[in-house]
Amino acid sequence: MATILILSKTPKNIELMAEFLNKQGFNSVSASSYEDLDRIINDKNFDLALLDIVGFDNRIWSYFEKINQTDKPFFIISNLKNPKINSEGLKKGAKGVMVKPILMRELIDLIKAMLK
Amino acid sequence: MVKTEGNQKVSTGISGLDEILFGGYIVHKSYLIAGGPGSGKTILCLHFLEEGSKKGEPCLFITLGEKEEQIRNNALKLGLKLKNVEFLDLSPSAEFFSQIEAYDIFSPAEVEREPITNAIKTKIEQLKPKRVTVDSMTQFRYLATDVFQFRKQALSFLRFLNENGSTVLFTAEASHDAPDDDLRFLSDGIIELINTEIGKKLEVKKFRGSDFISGGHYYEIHSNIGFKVFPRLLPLDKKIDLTFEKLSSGVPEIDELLYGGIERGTVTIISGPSGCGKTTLGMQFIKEAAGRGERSVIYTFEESTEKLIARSTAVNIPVREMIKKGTLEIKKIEPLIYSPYSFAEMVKEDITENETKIVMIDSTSGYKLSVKGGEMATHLHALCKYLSNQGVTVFLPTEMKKITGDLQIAEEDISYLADNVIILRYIEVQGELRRAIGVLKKRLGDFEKTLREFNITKYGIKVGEPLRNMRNILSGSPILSKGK
Repeated sequence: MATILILSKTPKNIELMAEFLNKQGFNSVSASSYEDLDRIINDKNFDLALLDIVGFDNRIWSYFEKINQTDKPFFIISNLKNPKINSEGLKKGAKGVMVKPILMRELIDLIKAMLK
Repeated sequence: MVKTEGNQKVSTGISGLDEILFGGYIVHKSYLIAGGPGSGKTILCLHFLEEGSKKGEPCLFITLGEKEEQIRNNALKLGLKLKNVEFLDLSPSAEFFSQIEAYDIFSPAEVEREPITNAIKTKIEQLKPKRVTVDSMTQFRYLATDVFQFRKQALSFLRFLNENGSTVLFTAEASHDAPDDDLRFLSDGIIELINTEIGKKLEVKKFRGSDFISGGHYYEIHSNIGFKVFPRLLPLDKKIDLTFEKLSSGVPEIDELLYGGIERGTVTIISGPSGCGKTTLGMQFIKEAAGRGERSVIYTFEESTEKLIARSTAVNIPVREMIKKGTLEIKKIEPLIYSPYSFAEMVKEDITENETKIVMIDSTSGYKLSVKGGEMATHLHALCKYLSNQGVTVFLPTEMKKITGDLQIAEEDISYLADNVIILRYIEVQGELRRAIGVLKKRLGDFEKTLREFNITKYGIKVGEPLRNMRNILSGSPILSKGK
């Protein structure tokens, strides 16, 4: 069973995403701070990452590079469409940028396609 | 699935609304209660549940807005105990605001629909309610991904409730961004509550499977009573066969002027300036009716009951005895308490319960000043027409501001609503102020075209012979005819 890394500052977002992924047959690990994220990246105990960047500062870009070095696919989740986030994110290795609210069906199709 | 036999109805819990809907809501149907903020949608629904609660029926209030405690407190202030009413509180908790419950990763439509649906399903299956209120259905709109999905979900939700044996009232908060047109189509009936300048108005816009009284009906909301609806007066409602028998005034000369008297079930305007004896003339007809054992009611807007009794007694009209015998009731109407509709309802209730035969509204200008809400002539017309069709004879003392001078029947244009018009005038003859009486209109028969002198004495009303030796009497300054 694949494990998805969920990053978010909002506890309810983590809870809902974990619940949803679990229903779809995935495990999840979650992080709400840089410390948590650091630990999970070092353990490499995940297969794909969903990174809700809302509430994080510029240091988040360096973590993208770290994840990219693990060769695990990752997606950026933002609350607005911003070309800067798009270009910077893709440059750092993100597979794409999703804007909230995310449609559950689209998300699951995307995860399945990436983990095939 | 619960089967409905015919169009069985359940009371709305509001007597006036039951009258409008000819018995109430049809069981196992869903009704939309639409209206703006503060129009009383929730209260109307609470009456429906209270009625079921009193009968021991299981009732359910599904709230998506106000908290249960808040609704119960408000209901109690209106005298609604909601003893057998259960609540399914789906309103947002305080934690939602404090971020613990807040989320934005998925849309509410995807997150909340399932738990809410499950909570409702479980409650319905467990309680099997006969009456359900959903306040408000508009909230479900935000749980649907698009308009089509919402319509489908709302329709299937209402069907689920109806098929489980519930009669449903649901509210909606229409706005420019989220109109409730779709809910209107899928409901079995619509009751719209509208705030107008005159007062709160209710209108049944749709009522599948049954007749109803169309048009606007005014309502009021009072503490300890709640909703009080005043069904629109229908002149043809329970119309009785009228005989138009002539009612004597008891004064032979007045009867001569009227060729025998005024007909039962007609409306008579007694027009004249202040102090010329309009009320006393009306009282004279009432005295005569009391002699026949008939009951009359005077709605007095200006004078106190005591003054009216004292004044009438002084001119040989035994009001105290009439009240004692039950042939007369005097109701003092305090200013700005009644709307035209609540006043009409009071008059209607009285004639139904007490078989009142004569009603005097003293006076039309007092009615206009005291009964809040415009279009006095329209309201008075509807009331008079209703009374007339019930065989009640109506007297409307009507004041004219001008003491003398050119003839005018009333300050307001209300003469069209009268079958009979009797005028009282001050005239000045050789420096002396005297009074004259005449008849201007009598729809159901002929009348004497002359004027007569009119006097009020301690023995009662005295009317003289026709004033044939004068001309220009209606100008107020008559001229003695030559050679007379």
